[in-house]
Amino acid sequence: MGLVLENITKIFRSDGSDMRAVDHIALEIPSGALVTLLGPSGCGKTTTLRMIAGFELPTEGSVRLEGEDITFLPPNQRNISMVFQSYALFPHLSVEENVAFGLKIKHISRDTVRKETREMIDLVGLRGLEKRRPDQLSGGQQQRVALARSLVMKPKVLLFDEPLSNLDAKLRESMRLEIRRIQQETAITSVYVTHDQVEAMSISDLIVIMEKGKIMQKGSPFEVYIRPENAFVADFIGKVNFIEGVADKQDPESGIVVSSSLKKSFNCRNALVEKGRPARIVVRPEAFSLSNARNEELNSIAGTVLSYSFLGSHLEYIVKLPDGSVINALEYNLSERQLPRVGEEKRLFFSKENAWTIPG
Amino acid sequence: MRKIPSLWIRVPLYIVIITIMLLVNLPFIWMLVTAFKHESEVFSLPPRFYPDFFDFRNFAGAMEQIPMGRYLFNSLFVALSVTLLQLVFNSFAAYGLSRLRFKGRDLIFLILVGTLMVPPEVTLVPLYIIVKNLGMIDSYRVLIIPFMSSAFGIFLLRQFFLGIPRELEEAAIIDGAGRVKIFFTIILPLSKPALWTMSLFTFIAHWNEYMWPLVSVSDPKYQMIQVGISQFVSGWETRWTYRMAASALTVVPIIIFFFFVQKQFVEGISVSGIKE
Repeated sequence: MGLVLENITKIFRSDGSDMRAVDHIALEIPSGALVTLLGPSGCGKTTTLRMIAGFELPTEGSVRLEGEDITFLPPNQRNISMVFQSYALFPHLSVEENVAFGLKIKHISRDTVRKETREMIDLVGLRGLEKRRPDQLSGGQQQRVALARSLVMKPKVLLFDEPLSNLDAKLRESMRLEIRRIQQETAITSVYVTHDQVEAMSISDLIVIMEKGKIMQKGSPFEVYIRPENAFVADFIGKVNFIEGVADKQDPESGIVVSSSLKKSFNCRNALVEKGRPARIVVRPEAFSLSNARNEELNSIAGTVLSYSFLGSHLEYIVKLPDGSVINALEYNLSERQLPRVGEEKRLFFSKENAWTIPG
Repeated sequence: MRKIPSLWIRVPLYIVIITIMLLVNLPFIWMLVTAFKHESEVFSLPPRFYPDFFDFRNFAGAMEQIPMGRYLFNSLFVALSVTLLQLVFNSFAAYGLSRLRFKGRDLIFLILVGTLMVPPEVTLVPLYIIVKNLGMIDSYRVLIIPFMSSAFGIFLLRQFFLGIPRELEEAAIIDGAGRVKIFFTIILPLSKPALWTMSLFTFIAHWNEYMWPLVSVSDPKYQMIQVGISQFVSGWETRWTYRMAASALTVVPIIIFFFFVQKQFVEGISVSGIKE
């Protein structure tokens, strides 16, 4: 196992009051994996990252790297590098000097420093810009310098603290692919902090979703999206609809939840909620199919179109159900179809495979 | 784009600005023209602003009457030494007070800033007693050592250092740099404007120092230029032309210094938000 966080807690004390920023987090990160800490502002993800880096000491628990306890090692002795949100490039040094900064401290021979710096500049695609100062580079180029400066140290762990948050949407997309490419090429264990779930989904081997200092769920991007363990995760990752009810059958493949407000029972996958307990069926907007059919079918609900938006590749509906709740649904394959009317009756279908149940 | 004010606004505005500029610079201009006047023209009636002819002999006369060369050297040596020492000690202290976490740090800073409120005249006698007991009277040491660091310089640099993003320091730390390395390779190079500003303030203050050398030095070998100039004033005669010629000469090093550092100086003032 590459990096292990054993039950770490961080409490900040100020003016006599305690603020628990990280609350008993346990996490095992395999060597060479890219793990993303995902969560809203203030959920403790950056504090966790700073404890791994050594900039903050845990109040409880320990940090282990390849079996060695590094909890109390200073940051410069951990063999960990970090890409900062603001890039933290030294403004008075050129690209080359920025990248070579850490190597020079290591007292490596001048030729080796030059060779490794050049290799890293090539890897991040900045050849020809070696002599430029950070203020003469674009945001994306600055990000690449920051990445090169971290990679050149050949760290055991590479930390990313919201590295793309200062870039525009298009650049963010290309840079995250670039980061993933380089991370896979170098196979460095990486911990990536972001509040952007799309970013997390696209680059991670493992996503750790955090809220109020605690881990709400960890799993592959597919797992956390398809099989969220609680409402927070379901809601935080992508758009979601909840259908409230009571579990009638607990079965991971063929469960049943009864909704009293909709006067219907639904087939769904229910691995988590015991019979008789409040349950929520999680259905993603794209899991619905819509039709004008009137016939009652299993896993179908009738509703009224409140509004819709045409978004090029698809239509996004807001549909009001008989119990007053609102469903968000997407409809693709729009060619040669007529646009719906507001107030029109629609029937929404979903398959049991696309209906996941969580505790209510 | 900013709109240029109309002529009706600009003309009176320029007149006001030029008038203020002339009023502010009048003593300086008067000093310059007096340096070229004949002694009889200085207080002639009716008063004459410009001399009949520009007399350069006042400069030679002033230099003959007092050991100007020695005094100028002493002032330059003392002002540069104090400036260099303050650069070292103030920046170390400012770094500690801005970046290192230790118990009592804020209290130390508060006391330090508090000393700015104490007028130098109040500390003159105690300081004299201390240096006298240390046997430092009549030496360069007495002019330099008590001023090796200053609360104002520490305050100015501390404020500037606080503005340097902490992430830069953390980036250097994680790359393996220690505190000393960070100080010399990151903090100091990024603080050039503040360092130049502090240097200029310090140099001018010590170049113009009058009271302390007057009190602590009686040997002309160590005397400084401002005290030297006062020698043109005596109980029965004041040689205004010599005095002004000598004063004009003392301004030259400051103008040269300012010429070289003005860009960084203005930047330092605007960044630190401090002016003296």
